[in-house]
Amino acid sequence: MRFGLWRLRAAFPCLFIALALAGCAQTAKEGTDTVPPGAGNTNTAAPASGTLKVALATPGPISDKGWSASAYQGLQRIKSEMGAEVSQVELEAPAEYAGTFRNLAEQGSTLIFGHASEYDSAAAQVAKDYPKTTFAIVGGRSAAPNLMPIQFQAGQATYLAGMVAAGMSKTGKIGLVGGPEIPIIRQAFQSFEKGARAVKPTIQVRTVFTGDGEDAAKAKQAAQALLDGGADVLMHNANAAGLGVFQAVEEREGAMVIGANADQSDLATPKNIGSFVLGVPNAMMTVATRVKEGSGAGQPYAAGLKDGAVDFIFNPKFQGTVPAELKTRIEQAKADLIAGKIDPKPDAAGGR
Amino acid sequence: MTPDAVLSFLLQTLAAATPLLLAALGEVFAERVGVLNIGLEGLLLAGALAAVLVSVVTGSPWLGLGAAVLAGLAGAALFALFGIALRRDQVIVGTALNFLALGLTGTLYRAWLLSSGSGASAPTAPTLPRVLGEGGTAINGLTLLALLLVPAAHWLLFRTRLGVVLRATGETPDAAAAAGTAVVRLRVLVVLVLGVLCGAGGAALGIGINNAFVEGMTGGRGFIALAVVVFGRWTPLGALGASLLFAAADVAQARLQAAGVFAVPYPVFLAIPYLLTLAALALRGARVRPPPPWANPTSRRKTPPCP
Repeated sequence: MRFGLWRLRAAFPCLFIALALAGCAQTAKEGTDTVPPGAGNTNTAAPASGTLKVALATPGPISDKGWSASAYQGLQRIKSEMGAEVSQVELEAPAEYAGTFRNLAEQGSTLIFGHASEYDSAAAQVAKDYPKTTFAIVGGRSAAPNLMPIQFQAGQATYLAGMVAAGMSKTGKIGLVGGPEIPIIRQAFQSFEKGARAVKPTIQVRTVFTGDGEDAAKAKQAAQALLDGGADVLMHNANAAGLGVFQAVEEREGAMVIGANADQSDLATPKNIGSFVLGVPNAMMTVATRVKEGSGAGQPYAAGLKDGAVDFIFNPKFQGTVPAELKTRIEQAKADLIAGKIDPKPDAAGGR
Repeated sequence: MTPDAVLSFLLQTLAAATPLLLAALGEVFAERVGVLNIGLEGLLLAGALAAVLVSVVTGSPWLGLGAAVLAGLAGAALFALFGIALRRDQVIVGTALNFLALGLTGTLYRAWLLSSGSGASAPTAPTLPRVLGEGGTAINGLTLLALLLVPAAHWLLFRTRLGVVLRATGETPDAAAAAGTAVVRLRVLVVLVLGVLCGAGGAALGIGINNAFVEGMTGGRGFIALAVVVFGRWTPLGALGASLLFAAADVAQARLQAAGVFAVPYPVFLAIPYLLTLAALALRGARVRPPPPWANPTSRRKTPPCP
């Protein structure tokens, strides 16, 4: 026994580390990104001959009820509503990106969705060799005649969220809790602030960044600091750490909260006014339609309110009342944003 | 600041200090007996997950706390096996423990989410009952317990015979062994106590401050706790002061950002707690000396030195 253990002791740490690495397989989940519009022309894309053959690569299991699941929903809609032939692969290891895209293209896919911004460079590389296949990469940076980055216009939705927050605030102060200060979050917050000012020019918008998308305790502290400072409506954009924000609101009388990225109505429900949401299936439907029609190739697809790819939705179980006048204004703003009459992007001078 | 705001600040600081304090208290004892366990982060994380899962499933935060303690104990036992019994390098073992816990808790939590059908929205755990304050600015029994542990630990370490034995085990293991102390056994025991404290510290995060688990939610507190031990000069009272200072700096930086009066980039505020430690260590560093022989799992000689 003693001898056995002695001999095995060298193997233990290896096993230990192997286990740790196996567990560590993290998947990044940045849905959106900003991209300079790429140049490209609109021919040489896949000809729409007969049925569409659509493949989807997700960075995680489609059973996650989150990021990858939303893409799978989109795929199923493309199948049922457009009669497309569909397939799905889970693609996690960076070393397999290019090979998998190549395989999917070899199988004759007309359209390949890459549901992670990490896929961008691999897809760009493979796309050159398969001009008949369109690659649509969520949060991608590169555009080519058959490479279509999908960029969610979260700013349009957070502009609406800002209008709601300012309209609902009684103290005239509203707050934002961010995780790491990455461009996508900063822009969403700037649009929020612009929307808030559109409703109430004197509104005070305070922002606290925690620098961390996982530290829920820190996000809670940030929310408490904002609430202690007199803010009464908070919105977060701190990934999973945002849970701490809902908790702080739940524990504070008179506080209200707005959810981010998905319908978060089930968190702090009675105090939850609504959420800004990303409608991944809608965005995918739009892309598939464009590819089928042979339009929009070579251009980044700005997935916005127009296609229901982003939206602000009210929480039906919110205990307070949203004034009808505010709701009308939101509807009007939605129409104006779609029509391009309102620009959710911050004014050149504004914001830090 | 109004009295309300001051009270709120103090209570939030106490709540934020709890996980740091519990982990640091355990580490003070571990380092005093000559063990360096840098796996605190992993132990905290394991405790947080166990606390959340069990309190969600059973509906009892106390059972959750119990499970957190057991999880910490299990992690510490793993450390004791490799770092003390098998005499592997403790820094490596501690690092492995951190990675293992990060990966394992994430994997287990995802698996549980999928199997329970809770999906993307995390289930909410019942939290430990509040004993002081109300609403968002309340502290729970665990915070109180941690605060009460400090004087007890200080007394144990510096005013009792057992304390002398513990310190001797760290400072001169040979002499302690000659005096009849079972050095290895004592070290294992202390590491297990460290596991219990870290597990409780994880519960203070998972079902104390927060009410849900988030992968990697410890956010480096296990490493800050290591700094707390050094800054607190390897004493329980020092650890209390240091963890309160850290927590206060952290709570204060959020408030400075929220006040929005300073046109300073937010990372400057985020850095305040760490800058504070650096400054404190620089100022007091000359007088800070770790207990020898640090992190040496093998300081038992095969033959006793000749007199």
